[in-house]
Amino acid sequence: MFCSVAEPLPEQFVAVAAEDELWDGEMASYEIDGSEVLLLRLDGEYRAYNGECPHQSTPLVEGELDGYTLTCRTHEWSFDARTGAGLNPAMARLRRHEVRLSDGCVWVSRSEERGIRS
Amino acid sequence: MLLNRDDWYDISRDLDWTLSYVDEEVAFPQCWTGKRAIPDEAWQAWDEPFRVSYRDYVRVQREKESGVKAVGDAMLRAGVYQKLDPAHVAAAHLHMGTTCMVEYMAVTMQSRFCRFAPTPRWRNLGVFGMLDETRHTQLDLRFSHDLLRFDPRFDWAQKAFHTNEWGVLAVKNFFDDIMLSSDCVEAALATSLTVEHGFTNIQFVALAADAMAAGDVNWSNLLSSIQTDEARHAQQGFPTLQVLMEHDPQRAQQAIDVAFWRSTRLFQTLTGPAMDYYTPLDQRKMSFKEFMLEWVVNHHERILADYGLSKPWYWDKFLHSLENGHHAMHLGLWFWRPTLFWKPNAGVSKAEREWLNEKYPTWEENWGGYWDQIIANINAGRMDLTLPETLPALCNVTQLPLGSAMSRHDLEPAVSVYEGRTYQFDSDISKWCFDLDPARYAGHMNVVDRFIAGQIQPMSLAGGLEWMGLTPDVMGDDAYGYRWAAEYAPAMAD
Repeated sequence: MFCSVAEPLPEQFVAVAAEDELWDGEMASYEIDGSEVLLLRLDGEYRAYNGECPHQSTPLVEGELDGYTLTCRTHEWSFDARTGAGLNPAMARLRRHEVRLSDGCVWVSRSEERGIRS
Repeated sequence: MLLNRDDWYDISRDLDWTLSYVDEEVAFPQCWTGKRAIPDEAWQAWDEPFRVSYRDYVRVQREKESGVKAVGDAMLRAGVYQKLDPAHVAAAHLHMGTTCMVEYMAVTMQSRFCRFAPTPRWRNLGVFGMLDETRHTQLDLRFSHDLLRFDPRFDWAQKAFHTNEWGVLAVKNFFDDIMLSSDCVEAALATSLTVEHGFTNIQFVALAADAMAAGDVNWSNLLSSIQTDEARHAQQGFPTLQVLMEHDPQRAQQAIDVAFWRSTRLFQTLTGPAMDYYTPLDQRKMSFKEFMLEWVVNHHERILADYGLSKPWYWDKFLHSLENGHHAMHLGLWFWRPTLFWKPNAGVSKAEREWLNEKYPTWEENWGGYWDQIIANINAGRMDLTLPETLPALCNVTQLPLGSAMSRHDLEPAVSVYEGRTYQFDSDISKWCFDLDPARYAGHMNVVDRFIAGQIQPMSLAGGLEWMGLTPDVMGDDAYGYRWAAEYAPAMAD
């Protein structure tokens, strides 16, 4: 494991990557409890979302992150990568996972915030 | 300062006019709108969630076109096509011949939405759908044109729908029905929602993944690029369904249930063999059944539940068919290979058979015996016994062979008599489709009906092949020249 827990975090958090793993504007996906979680870095800050597009479950990591716009590769549903809010269609949104940094690692909450599925 | 899209979008798409020179029924005939008794006000709620302006559309599509062309040019220069596995190449031939002109038929359907849809919002969206489908047709034609120098089968991207090849006629029959002959409401439910939203992912996403694994970057990229357009025009089905659920849910249920079954049979014919038999073993991502369960069944169940529809009455039979139908179709396609314009891979080498039995536990019991006999005939040099002498009886709804929908045990005849003529079906589900609206299907004669009526001369397999437009340069044969059967020879000799 690349991380040891110097400062214990609540049990629902899982270390998925080293803190310097992603550059700004990059994204990667990780599996947590059998589900794919998308981690991305914007303006130095990490954000994590459910890794599948709410439209038809395409892995979002295969899409494009252009500035603050995350676009699914399959049908071009797009989201604001800062908030997970749907840009097109606006009624969609990504379910967000809480992120914490500790001990040089990025920790992501196992549970997702409740969101709207298309 | 420019307004944001959402600031002006509603005004632009709600653009309509008050008719003063003609009656509404003349300008928007019921036979094309499909409104029936649904009040005009109901259509005001029609709303598409995925929005696009013409400016955005042109910018994004231009970028896509540049990408597809760049990849295609690079792959051509690299000579990628010449290095592809011949079994995989058959999947590309099959796709181009049976899909290119369906895209073109969809241009007509979308044009009908532009002109006759019962709400201006829908008519506006139809414009983009029409442009999308024009693009898809042109992409398929350009892709095939580029590869025509390597194989005359790519000519069938344009030619197929001008022939009487039986598989093409089955495809054409379905899309004639749900694209060209249906009113806007039914076309949106059957085509946009069921086929485009429900089923095309398996051809354009799942098969694209298989193609990428097989090294066919050009085709995979083409399929993926086409699929990116679907979210825009496939969404025309959902707001239409929403209106129907409030005013005519029975019509929605019936249209979707019929289209779902007919789509299943078609994709069992086109996609099932390509995935489970043509894609080289080490490059298969998942089985056709697994893809269907993940991409089609799950999503269809969700849609039915979300909108308050019931599962079709035939759901258990459909799941049984999912286990069997494409294996039956594949066996038939390979056996009647001279009637195809592509070279099917048998896909039953020992390793492939092990994979099939792992994915489909009843495969050996259902289909193994047939293949064993074919293999024995090949290894005994009796190729004549592996080739057909007659045509298979065909279903009067799906146009596919009787006995190809379920397992080999499900051969009970499904028959209806309508106005003195007997119609036969590949399943009681297809019979149910017919019985719902017999006049819709009754006039049509399938290939075998025409053969028996003497419309195909001479009345022999050779006459049939000529009638279908199959020439020696494209006529189907085993993709690997039967070499795969040799590994069975020692065991059979023992």
